[in-house]
Amino acid sequence: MLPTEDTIVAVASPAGRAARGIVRVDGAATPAILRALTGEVPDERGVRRARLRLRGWEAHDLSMACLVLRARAGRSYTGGESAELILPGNPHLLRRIVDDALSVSTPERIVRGALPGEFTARAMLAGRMTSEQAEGVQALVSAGNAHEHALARSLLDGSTGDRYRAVADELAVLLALVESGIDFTDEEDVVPIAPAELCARLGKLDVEMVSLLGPGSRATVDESPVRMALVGAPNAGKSTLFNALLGRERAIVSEQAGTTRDVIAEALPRDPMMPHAPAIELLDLAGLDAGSASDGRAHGAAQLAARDAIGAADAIVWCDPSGQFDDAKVAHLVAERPAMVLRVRTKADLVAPQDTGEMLAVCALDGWRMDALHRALCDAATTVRGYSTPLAPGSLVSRHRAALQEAQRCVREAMELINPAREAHSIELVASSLRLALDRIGEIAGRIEPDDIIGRIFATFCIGK
Amino acid sequence: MLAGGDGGARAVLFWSAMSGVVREFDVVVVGGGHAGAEAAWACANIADAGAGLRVGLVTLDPEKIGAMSCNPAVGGLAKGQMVREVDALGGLMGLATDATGIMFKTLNATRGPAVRSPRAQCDRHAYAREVQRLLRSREAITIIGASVERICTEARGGRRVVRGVVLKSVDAAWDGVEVRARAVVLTTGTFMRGLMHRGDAQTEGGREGEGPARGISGALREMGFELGRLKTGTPPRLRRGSLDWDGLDEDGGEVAPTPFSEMTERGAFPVLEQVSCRVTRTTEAGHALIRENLHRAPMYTGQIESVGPRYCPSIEDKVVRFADRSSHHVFLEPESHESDWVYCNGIATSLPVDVQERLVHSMPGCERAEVVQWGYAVEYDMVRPHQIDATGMTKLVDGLFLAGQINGTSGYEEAAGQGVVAGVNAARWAMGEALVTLGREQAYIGVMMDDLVTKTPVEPYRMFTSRAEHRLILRADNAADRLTELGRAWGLVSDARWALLERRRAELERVDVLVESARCADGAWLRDAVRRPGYEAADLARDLALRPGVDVMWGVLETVHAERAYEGYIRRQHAEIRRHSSMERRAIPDGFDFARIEGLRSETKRNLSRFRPATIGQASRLEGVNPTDITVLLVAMQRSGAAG
Repeated sequence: MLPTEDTIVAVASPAGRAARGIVRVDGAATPAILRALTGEVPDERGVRRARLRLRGWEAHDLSMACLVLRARAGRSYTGGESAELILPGNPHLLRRIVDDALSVSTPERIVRGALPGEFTARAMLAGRMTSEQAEGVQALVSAGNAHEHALARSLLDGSTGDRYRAVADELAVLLALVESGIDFTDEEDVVPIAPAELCARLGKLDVEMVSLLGPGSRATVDESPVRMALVGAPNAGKSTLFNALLGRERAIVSEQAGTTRDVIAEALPRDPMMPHAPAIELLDLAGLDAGSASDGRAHGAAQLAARDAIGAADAIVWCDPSGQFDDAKVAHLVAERPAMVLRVRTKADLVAPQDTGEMLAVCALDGWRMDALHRALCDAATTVRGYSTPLAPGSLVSRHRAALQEAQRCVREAMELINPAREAHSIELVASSLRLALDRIGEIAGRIEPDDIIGRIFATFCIGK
Repeated sequence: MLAGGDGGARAVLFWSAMSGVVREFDVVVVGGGHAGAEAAWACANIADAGAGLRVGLVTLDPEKIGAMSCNPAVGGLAKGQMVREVDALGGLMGLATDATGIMFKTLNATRGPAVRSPRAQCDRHAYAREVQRLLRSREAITIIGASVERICTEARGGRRVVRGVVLKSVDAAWDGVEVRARAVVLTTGTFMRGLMHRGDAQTEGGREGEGPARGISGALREMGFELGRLKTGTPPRLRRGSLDWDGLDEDGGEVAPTPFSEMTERGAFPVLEQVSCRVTRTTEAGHALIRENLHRAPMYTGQIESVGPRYCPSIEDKVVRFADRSSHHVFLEPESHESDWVYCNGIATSLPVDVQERLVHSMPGCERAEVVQWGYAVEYDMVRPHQIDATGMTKLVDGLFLAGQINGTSGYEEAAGQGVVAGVNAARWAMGEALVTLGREQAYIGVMMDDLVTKTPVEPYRMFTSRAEHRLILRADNAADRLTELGRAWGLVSDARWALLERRRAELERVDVLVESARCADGAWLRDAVRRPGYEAADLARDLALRPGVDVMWGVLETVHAERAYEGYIRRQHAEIRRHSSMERRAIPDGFDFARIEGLRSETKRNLSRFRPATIGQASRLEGVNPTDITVLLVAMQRSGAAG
């Protein structure tokens, strides 16, 4: 963790072009940065219009309208002096603003770029939010899709926390009942919980934890882009499709088959309609053919590189203008890969366009159905990353998931220990498992102390001779 | 933490120009109850181990040293483990109990070894006499019959440091004497501004027939200590001859009990003739009587405002809180061979005498009972324990230690455990050595000290096994394995006791090897059989053909069995301990300014500033301190260059 006295600055809007961009500043140098950027420092919190003047613009008498959202210490997200500048989402412009803000830094008053999550960490350190909510923010920022987005919101509004606490509470009640049978056996009034009832109530807890964890828990959060290779016979229109998807001329397109020799990789711009889909890296490959000696070594190398790229891709976009998808060379490569395959009928302007369940007909030249293709790619990427199985709230944040899984393991262990089929059971071991389960849940729901357990016993039974 | 002194001074009598007679000791222990006796005893052990300390034990009435104010029972669930720990640290409670017990019993005998606890009923008179005999046998200890009028302190290096106490005594040799010491241990029990209640009658005093200690409360308050007030109670005592003793159900002890002390010779144990108790019960008529007279109960008239223990409620409390019950058990426990007093376990009360009498007579077998001492409640001052460290030393005054009920605990065993900790550290302070603590993973005593310094007591603190997160490790059977080596390093453990531990270790190893290679009667490997539920240490003795006390040392099979039966769980508890160890013991610098930490909620700042935790572990257990607060605290420590 870097010093919290520093002023931090960062672009706070998603990367890439967007209608609006946000630069966030937090720390004591906030007023100085605002003065440098806009020539004025609003001292009231709230939104103000301002004119942005960047270094070097003076000569050209340039300025740009922007909004300044100012928050004073104690009332801001992070608890400190902070501001947000809202302006057109031009990445270059945003970078320039950050650079200008950084130039305000002095040895006494350091201004530096923010680390990922540092604004939220500051908010947490300032007591503006619980760690659970901070994790919600983090999950929200990195949510892979709309469903995860909703789950992240449930962390933020505390409804998931309520479920954790309900589990912890029931565990505490059960532990108190078990403990009463250990610490107060010499008390006539104490009736320890019957194994069958304990088992039944633990079973209910297990069900709730299963529901919190969900069936398809993400083992690890893979944030790397999903690699999608455009595959097809030479001259299948892959490069045209590639350029159309990127929205610029990246690959050389030619009527001459086999123009593309190298593997070209580019990030697919995010679909504004699917902001939480995983990032996608598109690979444009050489067309696959049987190859012949006359094509030369360069061609052979291109073929090898293409095959390697297919081997490493997460998904394959099989392009075929004929719509037959029976090219044996491609089919062979595709078949031996477990990767997801999308069939795209390219050059659909050449024939009567028709869509079937298995393929998507597009025309890259006039952009026909390109938006549908874009969305299909995002869906495929989401599926590849395993986000498609509905995630449960407890599985979203790895710390929560680990705590829940361990607690669940302990609860199941306790159930196994009191299994009526066993001849005898060690009640202190049952208690040990339940205590551990409670400690684990406590890491996300708030710790329940032995004193609380003892208090519950006193509240339930007449203790004391 | 280092003391200023250089240790080793002998008691000297000389005249001070200013204030008359001055006597000098290294450590002065104030109070001769179970905490005080144990503290003085620990100092004597350290003195004999070569430190040559002189200990003054100041008490109102030396004849009352070791008195059992309430039930003459030692041990019980979790408490029994603590007595074993006190013993493993060279303490005297186990020795005195073994020598004077008249009924021994293992509680939770049908449950696992971690939650079994030894309990003994002692002969009240013999017990006190034995404690006095043991203390008098120690050359290092001087017993002084006096009360403490003043606690003397002086400023040294910006700190307040204890200098000694000024006495008041009927003994002219001690009256008005200033007793100087580098360390003072206060163990005032229920005597600080003790006030006894019975109906609307109030009597000053800490125990039936004894006066209160008035001066100390004021002295502590003047020094800036925050005091609190607690309440506890005791039942009436009956004359055995007046009861239908033989007509009542018998509740007996064990035929072949296990002694508390490792040092007790099995052949001569138990020493005293064993007795059995009787069981009776309260009746619907008795409950009706209590309900009719609640307006005369000090607990309900507002006469007593302080809080009593929930686990030891008065009978009027039980009748009110558990109104659906028409009867409660009452155990009639003989108190001594030397008297015919019977303790009425189950009807602690501060109701007026006439109600007590009718209540007693409403119980079967007690219709004509003669009450020899009436029940009463006692209110007393305590020093809120957030003002001590886990070493027992106060944060306000260097060299001043508190132990026992003054810290808001209840029970002889809790007092004894604190007595050992305070005694060891008082001696170490006097010698200029670093103070020591026990961790929650090492001993129930450690759990207790940690609880005391991290929790605000709402009632007198009593130990329960469920307070110990490492209960499977903190067993009665392995107390010596856990603590005797530590006790040896601290100078508490005699050569004889140390030799026993060395022998025991060899035996544990030997039996463990045997278990590895033996099969039991049904042909299964013993190492597997030992994990079966229901397989006991006695089965191990049979399957290994080892007779405890003959072929193998007493107590060894119990430990081998427990360690094996719990093996996986113990491994997991050790893993948990390791997981938390780095944070647990990370020290927060002395005098760290919690109020100036940025980003902490004000409630958290208040709690941290009030408790002034010594470690991150302690901080994390404070009320209202959550993991985020700990992160903030760590960041603040790092910034101040103190994260170490």
